[in-house]
Formats: sequence, C-alpha cells, structure tokens
Amino acid sequence: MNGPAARTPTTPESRTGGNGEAGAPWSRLDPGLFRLGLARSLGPMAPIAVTALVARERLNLQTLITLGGILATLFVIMVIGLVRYVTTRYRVTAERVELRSGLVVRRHRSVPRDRVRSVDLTADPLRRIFGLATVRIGTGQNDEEKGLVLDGISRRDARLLRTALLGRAAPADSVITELRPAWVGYALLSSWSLLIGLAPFGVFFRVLDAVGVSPAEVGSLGELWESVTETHPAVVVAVAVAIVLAIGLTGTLLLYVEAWWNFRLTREPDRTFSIRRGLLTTRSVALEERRLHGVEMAEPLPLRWGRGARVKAVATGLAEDESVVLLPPAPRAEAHRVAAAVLAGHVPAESVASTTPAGSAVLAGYAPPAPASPILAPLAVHPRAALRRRVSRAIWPPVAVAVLFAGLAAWLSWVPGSLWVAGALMLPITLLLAFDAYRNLGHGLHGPYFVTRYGTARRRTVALRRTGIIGWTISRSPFQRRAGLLTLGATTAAGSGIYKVRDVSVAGGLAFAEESVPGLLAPFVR
Amino acid sequence: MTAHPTPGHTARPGGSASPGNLGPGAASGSPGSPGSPGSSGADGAGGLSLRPPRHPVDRRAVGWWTGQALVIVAPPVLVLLLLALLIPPARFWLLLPALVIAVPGLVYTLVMPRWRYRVHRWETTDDAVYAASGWIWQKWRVAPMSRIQTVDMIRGPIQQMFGLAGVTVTTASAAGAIKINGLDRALADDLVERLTARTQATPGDAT
Repeated sequence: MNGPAARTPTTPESRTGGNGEAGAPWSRLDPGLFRLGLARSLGPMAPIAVTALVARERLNLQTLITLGGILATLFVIMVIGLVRYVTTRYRVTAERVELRSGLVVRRHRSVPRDRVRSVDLTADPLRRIFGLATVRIGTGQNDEEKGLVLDGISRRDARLLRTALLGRAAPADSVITELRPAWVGYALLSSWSLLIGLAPFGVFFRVLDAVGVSPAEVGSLGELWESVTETHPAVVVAVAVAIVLAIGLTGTLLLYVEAWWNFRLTREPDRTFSIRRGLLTTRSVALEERRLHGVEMAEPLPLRWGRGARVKAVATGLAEDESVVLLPPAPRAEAHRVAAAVLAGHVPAESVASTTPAGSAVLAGYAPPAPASPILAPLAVHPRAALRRRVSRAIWPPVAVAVLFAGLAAWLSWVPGSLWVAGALMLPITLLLAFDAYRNLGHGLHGPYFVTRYGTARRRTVALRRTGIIGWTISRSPFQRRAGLLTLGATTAAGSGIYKVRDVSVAGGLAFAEESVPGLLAPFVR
Repeated sequence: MTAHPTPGHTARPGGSASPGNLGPGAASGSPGSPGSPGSSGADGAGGLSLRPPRHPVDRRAVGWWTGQALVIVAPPVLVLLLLALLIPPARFWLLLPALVIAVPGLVYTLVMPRWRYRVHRWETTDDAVYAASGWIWQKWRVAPMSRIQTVDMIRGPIQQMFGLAGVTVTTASAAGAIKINGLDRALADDLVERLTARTQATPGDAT
C-alpha cells in the first residue's frame, strides 16, 4: 500500500484505466481546493491584520487577544485544509474505489465498485467559483460510514468519475420531467410561507437580546411603537399581516428558485433515476430503480386548494432525515404523470412534450394512458365509525378552549368574559377538517402496489410495492376496539419504515392485508 | 446463566392449559365488567378477526411490570413525603401533590401489569413471528422469517431479578423491532436459538 506508486500524482484520465489492483495510480484532489482553502482563510485574515496594524495604538489588551485568537483560528483552519489537500489520495481500480486521507491518523477506505449504488455531485457557491465539486459515493445503505466522500475534485473529473462508476452515457437518458416557470405559483402555496415571514423578526429580537439591548431602548423602535399605538388596531393588524406575508412570499420564492432551479428528473439507461437541481448549490442525486419501492404524493391544504401536489420517492438506503423529491410543488396532473412514469418502468411518449392534455385525461378518468398512476387507483371508503372518531376528536379541542377561557374569566377578573367564544368559533373549522380527514381516508390495491391515503392538513397518498412489505403491525386504541376498527401498518425497509391504513374495519383491514401479501397474515386470522 | 432446559420450562408455552392463560378469549366475552381489558384479538363484527398468539408470557412478568411501575411512581412520592416530614410549614402543599401522584400511580401499578399479562402473547410458526403487546393501546405484529435480520436476547436489571428475558426480532424496517418481553430465561435462550436457526434456513434478502 505504501509503494512508490502511491506517491505519484497522476492525471485524472489515467485513473479509470482498467489496470489491476496494484497498478492503478493514485490521484490527488484538485489544486483548486488548495486555492479555496487559502482564499477562505486569508480573505478574512487580511482585513483583521490590517485593522490591527492601523489601530494598534488604541487597542487594549482584550481586543488584541480577541483579534489574535481569530487570526490563530483562521490560520489553524488553513493549515488543516492544506494538510487535507496534501494527504488525500484516491483511485478507481477495476474492482474498487479507494480513498486515503489523514496525517496523524491514516485512513484507508475502499468500496467495491459493484456495491456503488449512487454517485451524488454537489457544489456550493464557493466551490463553484473554484470549479470544484463534492462527490458522495453511496452504497445504498443507511450507514454513512459505508459511503465515501471526495470533497474537492474538479467538476469535470467529478462527472467523469460518475460516468465511470455508474457506467452511463450522458445523452441517452430520457427526461421524465423538468421544472417549468409556471410552477413557481405552487411554491407560494407551500404551508410554510407565513412562518418564514415571521423569522426575520425572531432573529432581530434574538440579536438584540444577545447584544444585551432592550428593544425599548432602540430609539427608532420606540418612535415606531408610539405611532403604532396611535393608529387604529385594524390598520395595524392589516399592515403587520401584509408585511409578514410579503416577507414570507418573497422568502418562499427565493428558496424555491434556489432549491429547484434547473430541476430535471431523468431515467438513465442503466435503470437509475437521476435528479439534478439547484441554483447556487447544485445537487445531483442518482437513485437506482431497484431501491425505489414506491412513491408518496403529499398535498398540504393550501396546495390542495390550488390543485397542486408534490411527489417523493419511497426508497431504501436513505438516511433517517433524507428524502428524494421526485417533483417539487407542481400541478396535480403532472404529479400523477411523474408517479406513473417513475413506477411504470418506462416513460410515456408524451412526457417531454407539453403534458397537460395527457394529465387531464388521467384526471378525468377515461382511457388512462398505459402506465396509469397507482395513486389514482379507486380507493375503498372507510367505515362510518372512522368519521365518528374524527368528529369526536374535532369536538374536544374547541370545548377545552371554551372551558379554559370561561374558567379563567371566572377566576381572574381581568380576563374578558367573552373569550370562550373563541372555542365556539373554532368548532366549525375543526368539524370541517374532521369531515375532510374522513373523506380523504382510503386504501386499495393497484396491480403490484399497495395504496393508502390519509390526512387533512397534509394529505398523503402512498403507493408501496407489495413485494416491499416485510411485515404487518395492527394497532387498536380503546375507541377502535369498541367501534370495531383497526389501524393496519405495512412495515417496509423503504421510506419512513411503516405506512398505515388508518381506521379500517377489522374484517376489511385483515382481508386487505391478506390480499396485499397473500399468506403472511392468514395463519393468525380466524 | 442457569440453563435448565427442563421439560417444565420448555413445555410452558405449549402447555398453557390453565384457564388463566386462555383468558383473552374469555375476557372479551364480558365487555360489561369494568376493567375488562378485552385483550382478545381484533374481533370483527362479521367474518374475519385476528386470533391472539398462542403462548402467554411468563406469569412472573406481572411482578416485573409491577417493579417497573414502582420505579416510575415511587421516587417522586417518597421524595415529597420526606420533604413533608422535614418541612412542617409546607406540609399541606407537599402532601397534596404526593397524593395526586400516588393515587393514579397506585391504580397504574395494580392495573397495568395484570392488563398487560392478558394482552402480551407470542407465537412462532415455520414462516413467521407473531406477537401481541400493549394494554390500553394494543398492538399485534407479524414478521416473516425470510425478512428477519437479527434475533437478540435482552435482559434488563429488573427483568433479571425475576429470572426473565426478552427477545428482540429486528427487520429492515425503521419502524422498530418486534419485542417479546417477560419470557422465562431458558425459554428465551431456546427461542433465540430456534429463531436464528430458522432464519438462516429460510432464504430471503431481509429487505
């Protein structure tokens, strides 16, 4: 391993040569990384050093120590970066990908090439300036330790590496879907818009708090507050809501553009899906078709009002909080088309061209094209007891609110007596949500897929490959036992690990489980 | 490890012929009686229903669950009582929360273990592991042998005091393992061995 060949830096092209284990030469990371490390540390160091020199007469000891500390830290960061550049070597042989790094603790990691399941390229803005990319070579397992990360090779090399490892030709892939500018409107229906609008205020007061300034002491804020108290409350509320909404919508828009710019979902010739997206940070994910066990369509309430939806992959080998988005907020018809295309194994002919006619044909339900979306499968309605459960859940919170306020008003004289009305006003809303939640419940089979739908604030429809189901979990609360209901959970290695059919009748749920995976539950059913 | 695979031990699951062990079915037959856990399988209005797994857990599990409940309930109550003894002026305000914790705590300590005992059951066939657990909220879980990844035995400190052990069967799902707790230790040993042999003999990719 420590042979003379290991020390020789080589051109990236020679890397992928089909030499034997011993023969393949090692390559260094890109020199751009060296420059990036220098720039990142020297950039902030220069002004600090200049300031210290110019103002050295007036600096007290404490400031000097602080500045010195910052300089020392930046210097250490720079040295660490340089050491990493100097000590890291990688190579791709006929059998494996190897990475060696570290000065004090030498690490040698090697991944067999036939275990490589994904090669993801990312580049943050700083790396893009220096023409660099980060390559994550994954083995399709949850364990981060089993993958391999090459941070700082040139983007051209990164693309070559991916082609070499996944063996794909760039032009042969077929596009399943691409971002269309009109979809921006759906981003604004994302349910988080308002919260983003509140964030700047939270940060502002947090900073004031950290610096130790009371908001009342800030002159302009005081004046603002005075003028606010003089204005009519309705105007104040309207202005405040408008400001928060404006910030929220702008923020959402910017985030959407940054995250989804150039979004493109393609099917590669080697049975892999490739997702590319991002404006400042470009992300590129490869997902093997055999890791894909299904799709999940999510429709948050505002998005549902706008007839939009998102699609996520239900795949194995993802980290706990990782998810592969197959389609950002987009028209529902497009979501169905993408779901169908991804699950069907081939792309429908009309995919690249304008898809609205095909999509609406699917929606209308007549003569669906060959790969019909499993998400559109007709779903069985759940028993009325499920509605009773939701209605009783919807009644409790308003009653609790009303009782709480009434009690407070009776106990504390300064609490206005009419606040309990809030509970009464909540009731119609929660009841509507309860009816909607019941209407959304459904389950069914569509060819090889197990389909379940639930939720109201965020309706989810999951289509899970039946062969991916690795067990059943049946749970019953006291209410469900009285009402003859159960919640059937299909456990799987993919996605969130369990997908539930909520509040189905006992006989119906057990029959559905047996129909989905014949023979598994049958011995335990009478 | 007192490995006494005596007939008495190993025969326990199969020989669950005592009326108490067959309780679940009977229990669901008396829904009117208060505290009746209704621990049978999912009894549907018509047609299909889930039958409870064949074997109950060891009777000593009641003692174990009682011990667990006491570990949760007893310390705050004892601390409050001790403080009440030491600080006479605040006695009322210390005894009141002690009472508020102690009364539901006592009910929990008495009811939960017995209720659990009627629900917790397990069974293995040639093809699958099947286990029921819970008390107020109940769960039945099935995993096929071909999808089992690991079989482990777990013995917590309190469980050890009662000579019990738990068997944990994991699959590739992130939704959690099937746990069969409160088994006789020798029986658990035997079960782990049998399951391990069985899963190795069953072809499958466990994903």
